[in-house]
Amino acid sequence: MSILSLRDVRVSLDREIVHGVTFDLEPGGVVGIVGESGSGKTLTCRAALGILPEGFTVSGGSISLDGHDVASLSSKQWTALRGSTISAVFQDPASYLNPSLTIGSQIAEVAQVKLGLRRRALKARTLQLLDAVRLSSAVHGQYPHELSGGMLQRALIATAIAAEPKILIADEATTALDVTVQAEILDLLAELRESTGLALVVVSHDLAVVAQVCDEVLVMRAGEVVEQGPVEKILYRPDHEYTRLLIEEHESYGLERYLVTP
Amino acid sequence: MSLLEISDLDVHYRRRTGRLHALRSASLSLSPGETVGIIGETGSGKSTLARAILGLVRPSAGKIVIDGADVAAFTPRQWRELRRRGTVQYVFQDPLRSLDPDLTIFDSLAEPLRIHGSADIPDKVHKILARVRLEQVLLDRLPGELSGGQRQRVAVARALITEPRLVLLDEPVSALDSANRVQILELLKQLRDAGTALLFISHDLGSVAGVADRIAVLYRGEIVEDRAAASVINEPAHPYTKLLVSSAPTLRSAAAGRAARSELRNLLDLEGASA
Repeated sequence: MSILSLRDVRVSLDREIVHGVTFDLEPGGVVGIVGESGSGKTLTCRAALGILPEGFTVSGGSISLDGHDVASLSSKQWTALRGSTISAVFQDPASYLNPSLTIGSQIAEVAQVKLGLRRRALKARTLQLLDAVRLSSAVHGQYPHELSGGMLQRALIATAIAAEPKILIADEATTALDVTVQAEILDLLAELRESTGLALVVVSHDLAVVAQVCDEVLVMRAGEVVEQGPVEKILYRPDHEYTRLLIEEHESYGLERYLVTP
Repeated sequence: MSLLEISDLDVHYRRRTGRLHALRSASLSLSPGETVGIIGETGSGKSTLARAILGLVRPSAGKIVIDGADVAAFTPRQWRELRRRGTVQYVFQDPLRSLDPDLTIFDSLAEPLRIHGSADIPDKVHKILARVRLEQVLLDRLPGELSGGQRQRVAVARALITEPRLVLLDEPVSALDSANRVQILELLKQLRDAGTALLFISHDLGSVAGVADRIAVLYRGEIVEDRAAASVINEPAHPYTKLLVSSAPTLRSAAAGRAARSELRNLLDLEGASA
């Protein structure tokens, strides 16, 4: 059964901005959303997280999260699900971490509040999480300003998975990073998926990033899903002109020009 | 003869914690009409290299010969003279940095020509705008009233208007969306084909690969590789270049190479520790 299911989800402010998004995410599965700024990919994620910005509403369709129809959830119920069932990381990790608290205490806080762990168990869990995101235990006592961008994103992933969520949304989580660091984070997400069965929603403006990790891809433009299907279909047999443009960009200007196709 | 010849360039920065060696005997040459990509990530020294070529940091050793003159030893006055000639121009990642927010697009484009003492300024401004495919109505606007892609095209136009022989581009497409990125890269290709030498600095191998004849890879202040673009990408020699190539997201290599990347990372960490 799907852990997250969107049926024709529409998001509106004064008028409709996202015009119907449908997908099913299975446990351990990966759905990718590709689109540029203004495509509606972030609003779609925020609708699934129940954190739409002020004034925005889900104006049509339905979202089912771990068997609950989210429209019927109270804000208290939402708070209980966020973190422990669904969690997210975004582009700028520094703005989601408190600069005056150590990394360890911020990871521990999530584990304490959501899992009710105490002292020794809490410390053990925090160190285990740092290890899971390939950060050394020295990071436990460090502050956000002491870490590089890639390390910050790892620390944020550690806080996001601290309460053992079933779904992690990564919205442009690697966009601001160097290419080798981006690959490290994508490798880490793939590892977490394999080792814990975490289901992922990977959102990026770059089709190639999404193609690295996803089973199913949605291509969005101006609030519309213009194409959707298994990654092989999107890459090798795209139907929509916009998808072809995204592929064409890579083939004319990217490494693809040189790489020998197997 | 080379248009730009950098040899054994060293740059140090003084830091509270001691001296930071930002560039270590970097050597690079660029012939007229050639496009060279410099690939480097955070801390590689790529911005230091750009700043040294523009005379914004003083090297501690080595030579930077532009068009026959060693600029590493230039006085501020000689630098002003070189800039006035407009032989070398630049485009940065954020066009707001190379455009004065209070000048209209027309004045931004006319300024280098006025400094240069050119005639027919309005005519040249109209022509360059057409060349970067922007509409003439934008001339009365301020940079803040343009989209990011339009601003970057204005920055490129401004760099080209003095007909420079060398254009230095520092992450020119990194802040743009895909449609605008394609347009700027297309424009760079046209420039290259028209004989302007380009030094294209970026962290993104993918965007450089489509335009550069040659690629130089900067890693921890050293140029570890400098060969034809196709050969750097297909047969990377240095472990860092291997990691870079295997990390670049492409449409063709889904999820493969995770173990190989992990090995290369370990190898490079060991190298760093012994350096």
